[in-house]
Amino acid sequence: MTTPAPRHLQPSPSTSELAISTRGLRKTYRNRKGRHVAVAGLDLDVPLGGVHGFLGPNGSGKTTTIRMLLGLIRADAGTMSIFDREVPQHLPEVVGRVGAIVESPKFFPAFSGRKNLQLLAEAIDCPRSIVDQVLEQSGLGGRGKDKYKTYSLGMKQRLAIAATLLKEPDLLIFDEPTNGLDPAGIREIRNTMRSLGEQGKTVLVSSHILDEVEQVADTVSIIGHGRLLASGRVADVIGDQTATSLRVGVADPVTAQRILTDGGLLVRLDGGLLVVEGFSDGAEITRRLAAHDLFVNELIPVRADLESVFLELTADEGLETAGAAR
Amino acid sequence: MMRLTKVELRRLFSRRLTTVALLGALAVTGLMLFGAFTEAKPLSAPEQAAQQAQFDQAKKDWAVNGDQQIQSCLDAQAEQQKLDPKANFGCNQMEPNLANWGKPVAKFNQMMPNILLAGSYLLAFVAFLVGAGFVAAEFSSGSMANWLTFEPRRLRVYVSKLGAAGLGLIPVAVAVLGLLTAGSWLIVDHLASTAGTTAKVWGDLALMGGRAVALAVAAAMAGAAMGVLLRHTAAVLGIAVGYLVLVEGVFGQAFQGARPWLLQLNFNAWLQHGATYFAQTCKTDAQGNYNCQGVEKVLSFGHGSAYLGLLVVLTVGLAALVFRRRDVS
Ligand SMILES: Nc1ncnc2c1ncn2[C@@H]1O[C@H](COP(=O)(O)OP(=O)(O)OP(=O)(O)O)[C@@H](O)[C@H]1O
Ligand SMILES: [Mg+2]
Repeated sequence: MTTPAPRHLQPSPSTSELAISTRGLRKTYRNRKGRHVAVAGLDLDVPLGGVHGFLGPNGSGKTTTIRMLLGLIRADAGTMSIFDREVPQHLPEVVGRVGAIVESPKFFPAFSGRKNLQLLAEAIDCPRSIVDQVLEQSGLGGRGKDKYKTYSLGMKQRLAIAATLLKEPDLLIFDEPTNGLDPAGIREIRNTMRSLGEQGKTVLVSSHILDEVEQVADTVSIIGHGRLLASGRVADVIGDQTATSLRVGVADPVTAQRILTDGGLLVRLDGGLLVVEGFSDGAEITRRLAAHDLFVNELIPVRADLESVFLELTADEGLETAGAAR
Repeated sequence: MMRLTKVELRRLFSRRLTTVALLGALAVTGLMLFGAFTEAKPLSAPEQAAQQAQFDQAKKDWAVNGDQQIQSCLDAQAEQQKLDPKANFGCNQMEPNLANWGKPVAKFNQMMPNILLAGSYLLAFVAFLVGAGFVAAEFSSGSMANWLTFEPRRLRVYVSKLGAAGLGLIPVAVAVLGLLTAGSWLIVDHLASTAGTTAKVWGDLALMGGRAVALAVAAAMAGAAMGVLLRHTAAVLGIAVGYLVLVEGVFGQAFQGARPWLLQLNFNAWLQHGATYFAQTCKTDAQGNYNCQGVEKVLSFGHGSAYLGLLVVLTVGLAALVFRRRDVS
């Protein structure tokens, strides 16, 4: 099985500009039902500074990759480095600069949030006063004394973020940090990540939701079936991969479809609305229809979603067959 | 390293299981002291009077039937001596003796080693449970992964956890044994006799207490290692109880020859500086009769310490290897 070369939309940065780099990273899980390749030769580069989205559908190997980077599980093959130090061999040297939340946050359920943080703070020898500071910072101040198991999902996430801040890290790894949060919580975490990125820290945020990453990330890597499909600046990767389309509402959609099709556009009817594929210039549509006395009453740009980006990427790379053969 | 161990110690004593286990140990200590109390307590005046009355009655019976009873005893002995010339029925000791009525006075120097032995069993069990829960809870709650993102050096993490489990049990063991000793002394001194508690007796008791503390430390570390291996407190407990019932209980009864390899006898050998036990030896004699005899055997202190030490080292070493390589998620 040959690995297709991933599409790098910007020249590979030199290593010293990278916060994280992996080459040929592989992990195979073995269980009773046999072997399962979770990460299949991943080459991931995360530039220093800013927010880097780590995108991939469920089961594509994001969490597995993050666990390997943090030394929680062993890689079968390949190399990894964080801040130019090879890990896991030199992980102890850099771990103090790395704050991470892997999957759902997990603390000692019977201890209070504060106690949990105090233990961690003591373990890395940072002053105790910082505990109350990060609790306050993450909006948990009032509930710090309650047992962790009584926390809501959102509060657990906040505590996990507070824990990563104990180290004053240069690199933050957030694995699906908005899982289970309400819109306000999601926005808050997004703002936290943004501001961390603006402070010059590197944030690696994994997600399977394109929108979420697009709003916060500067650069992005997309993986599927455990390997890199694309990486680069968000606009380049997502913008290039899928032409966005427009949904158009008019009084007489059939005539409008004929007019636009005659004009060389790809148009289909979808439940009373027209869908103009691969075209995003709303003004042009309005102008053409108005010329025939048809007036647009609704014009919705349709955003590319991860699924379509992903499908397109895998189709390009001929990966779907590889995936099916697994 | 010291810092990590300190953090783990703090965590150990913040755990509810630890608190509950310590309270439980305290309660059992109380029960054991109550046991010492009932053993040391002399008979009350009415009880003594009843005993005296029984003795007087027996004495009267003896005056009437004594000679006849001796004679029938001697006849039976003579009958038996035809088969076994050494047979001795003790016919000359049949006369009632007041010393055999009532209750002998309890002696501290005879009671205390047994109390210490029971206390060490208790401590070993509590230590094992606390150690196992201390580590297993981290795996089952998933907080181990979080911990490792703060300290990824697995061996340090492992040593600090086992170290904390072992160190944390030292004050507990000292307190429980101290309480048992002081409590028993007060009780026995008050109600019975502490005469004959020489410096040598105290020395032996101190050594035994020291070995009991060491046993508790080893049990805590072995428990923690089992917690690493099995990852669930319930699994460790299940295996421990299953082992005690099936191997030490059922198997140990069925195969007496296996006793030197069972924990209990080795515990005794370690704590009491050598332990005696009975083993059946069976053989066919010249007449072709198959008969068995209980023979007293000794399991040496060296055997006990080497065997228990080896078990602890193997468990702790195996868990270290597993923990170093394990995928934690
Ligand atoms: N402990 C494990 N044992 C066996 N297989 C596993 C294990 N953990 C993960 N996998 C498998 O490895 C693959 C990758 O899983 P991973 O958790 O890395 O995906 P992910 O990209 O994080 O997905 P999601 O978006 O759902 O979080 C999946 O197919 C999963 O079933
Ligand atoms: Mg995941």
